[in-house]
Amino acid sequence: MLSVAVAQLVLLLLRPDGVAADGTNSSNMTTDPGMPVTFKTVTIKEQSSEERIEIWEPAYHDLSCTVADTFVGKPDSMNGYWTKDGEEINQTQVTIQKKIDQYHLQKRFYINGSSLGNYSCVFMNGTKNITRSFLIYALSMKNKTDKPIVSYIGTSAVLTCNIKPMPLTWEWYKVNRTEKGMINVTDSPPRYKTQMSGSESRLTIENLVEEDTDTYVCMAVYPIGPVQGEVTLRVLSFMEPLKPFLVVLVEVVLLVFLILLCECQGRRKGSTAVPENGTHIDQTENLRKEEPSGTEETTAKRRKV
Amino acid sequence: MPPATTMDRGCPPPDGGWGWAVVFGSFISIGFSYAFPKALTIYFKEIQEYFSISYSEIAWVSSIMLATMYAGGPVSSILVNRYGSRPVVIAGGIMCGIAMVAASFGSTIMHLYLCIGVIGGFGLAFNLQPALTIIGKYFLVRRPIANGLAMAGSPVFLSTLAPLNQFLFDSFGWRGAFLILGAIILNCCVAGALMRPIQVKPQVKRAEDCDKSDAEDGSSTPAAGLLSGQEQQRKSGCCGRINTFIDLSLFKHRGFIIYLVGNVVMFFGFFAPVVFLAPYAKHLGVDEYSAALLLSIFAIIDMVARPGTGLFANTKYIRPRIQYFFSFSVACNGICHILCPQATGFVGLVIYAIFFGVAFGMVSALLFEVLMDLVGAHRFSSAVGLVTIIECGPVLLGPPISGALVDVFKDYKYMYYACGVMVLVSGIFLFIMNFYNYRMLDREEKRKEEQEVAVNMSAKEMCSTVEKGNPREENGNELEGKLEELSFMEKDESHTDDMPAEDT
Repeated sequence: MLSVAVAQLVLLLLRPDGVAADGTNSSNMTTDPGMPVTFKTVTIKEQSSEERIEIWEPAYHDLSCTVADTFVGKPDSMNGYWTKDGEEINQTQVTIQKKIDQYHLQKRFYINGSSLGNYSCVFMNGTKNITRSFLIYALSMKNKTDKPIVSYIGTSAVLTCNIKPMPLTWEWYKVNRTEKGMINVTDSPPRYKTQMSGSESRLTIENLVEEDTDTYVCMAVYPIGPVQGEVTLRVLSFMEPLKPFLVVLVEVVLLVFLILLCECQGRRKGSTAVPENGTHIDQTENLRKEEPSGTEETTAKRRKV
Repeated sequence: MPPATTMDRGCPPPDGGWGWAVVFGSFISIGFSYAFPKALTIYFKEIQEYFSISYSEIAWVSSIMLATMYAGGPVSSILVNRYGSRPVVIAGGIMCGIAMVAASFGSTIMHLYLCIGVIGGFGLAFNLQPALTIIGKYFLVRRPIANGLAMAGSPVFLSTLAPLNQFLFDSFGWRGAFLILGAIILNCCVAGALMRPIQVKPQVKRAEDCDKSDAEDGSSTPAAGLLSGQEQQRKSGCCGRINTFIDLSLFKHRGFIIYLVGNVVMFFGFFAPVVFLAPYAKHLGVDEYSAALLLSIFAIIDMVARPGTGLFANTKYIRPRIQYFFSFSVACNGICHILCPQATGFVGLVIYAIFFGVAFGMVSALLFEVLMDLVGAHRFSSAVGLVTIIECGPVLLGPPISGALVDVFKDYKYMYYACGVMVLVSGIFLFIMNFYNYRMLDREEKRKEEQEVAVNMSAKEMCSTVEKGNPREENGNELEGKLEELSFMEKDESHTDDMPAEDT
């Protein structure tokens, strides 16, 4: 038991990447040699929340729950079973013996696209049952942003979708109202270009026209099924930003004209140079007499330094 | 020590009136210059995907713009020395506008480098220098306040441009947003229109008088003025020719060298903490919105601290010793960064952001005020050009080097220690050297006064006026007052600074 637990721990650490934290091991312990096996163990503590497992390919999942005897009043044995989505799964009830002050419940499930759901282990402890859940759900795409990508007629636009881990393939669709039309790169003229580099797929549309304003669906194909993501494209004509541009331009020209006009008028009245000097004399006298320290000329202050 | 603070010697600055409109114009220009390169980063992600390039390639746009803005300083100074502030700022505004509009039609990243980076950068350089220069022409007594208010443009514009850019991007995409930004940045031309040139026709005569006073006071280093072409004959050959464009004799100016060295060291560690504030917060586990809130707190405190510092620096106790206040502010920055790693958790970071905002605002508000104080408004235009091109290096290298420190040590605290130490060392250096500088200047002052008194006394004896007799000669202070009275009588216009005037 201990060696198996150690093996499980080692396998948990071997997983290099991916959303699910569990390890994958295609050893010959499995029922189907080609099928990967994932190990997921949870130790029930005071405040364990549910375990979330994201899957993208059919696999066997070893789900195991361990509870310490301090929670359950230390009986020698307990009954336990598994439920799926709240309903007890048939023929899963077992009697668990206490081992090293712990009770262990484990079962292997085969999960594919149709058997996703909420799997729970239940320990029957008298009136109160102890249960913890494993939420197994399909991978989904995390949209970077819900805001549309804005581009202009005649230019090109780049739509990207990202997902981890790497899917088998990507497909792009254009959603014309309710219909989904697949985007074909062999269209003539060739406006669409797709680039797929592992976790990322880019759709480049060139020579945009107004009808390209649409929602585009990128589909990442996995063994468990396709995963969808959406990107919205908006195509504008250059008139749109031109309007605010012209408004601001007019405002700038007006202001500059006004300022220069005021200045010319002021100069015509001959009020710029001479009166300023008049007031300056006052100010500089104040400078010297009343506020001697306000300027840099007072060597007296500096000497104190 | 602080010399020719008047435009042409004897043509005193208004210290008010239209000067406040000029401050508003400078506010706009400085705001665009500092905030625009930073605010553009919002578009980078989208442009990066569009052109299929890496993040560092797109970040070059901002770096080139900033580098060109600093490197364009001397060019800007030469133009301002020749043509005054207004035409240069208007030209700069038009350049920026054209750059952004051209960039909106860009089809390659090189196109963006050229348009936004080079042309836009020069346009901003033509905004920054003249805006700073003209404040010195319009203000003397209230100059620190004017500087503080004008420099407050940077955080205000950054806080406004960031959400505006986000809105433009969402509505119009990056191309449309660049087009509209091109129009918005044309408002620099409005700022330029406000920068009314302060010399009008009577000044030609004044210049001659001013030159006469130069000869009398025996100034050792003539400055490249707008009208004082004849002074340049003192220098020989090509140096003389260069000096008509930009004043290279500043490199012999003790105060200028001290300022330059101190600032170069400071800028290595000055901007990096701003850049890394949000990433450091996220590193400590703070979520994105709270990290953004930290930056907003920093910006708001900065906004308030700049004019506040200007007001404070204008008081009669600080103004004569403004160099010490500047060194103190720089040192505060350094201490702030050294203590930063002690801040754990969000509350600690908020306290750090507040103190950092105050210190950053203080230094920014005084940065150009102390330069004006050292070299005088007359030579400020050349000085600021030379300072910005030399500071170009540390400003650009600082954040990447700090980033490298973070990458190597995988911990932010070493970066903060390094930045803090650099800034603190420069603060202490500035303090000590300015102490020495003040002493040397006092000594030169005394010598000059004694010379002047001797000259004037002999002149007076010739004119034979009995009342102004000798007994007062012994007291230095009264000597000052007497000399001022004498000059008042001799010249028509008022002089704000006679004896210290030529002391550069």
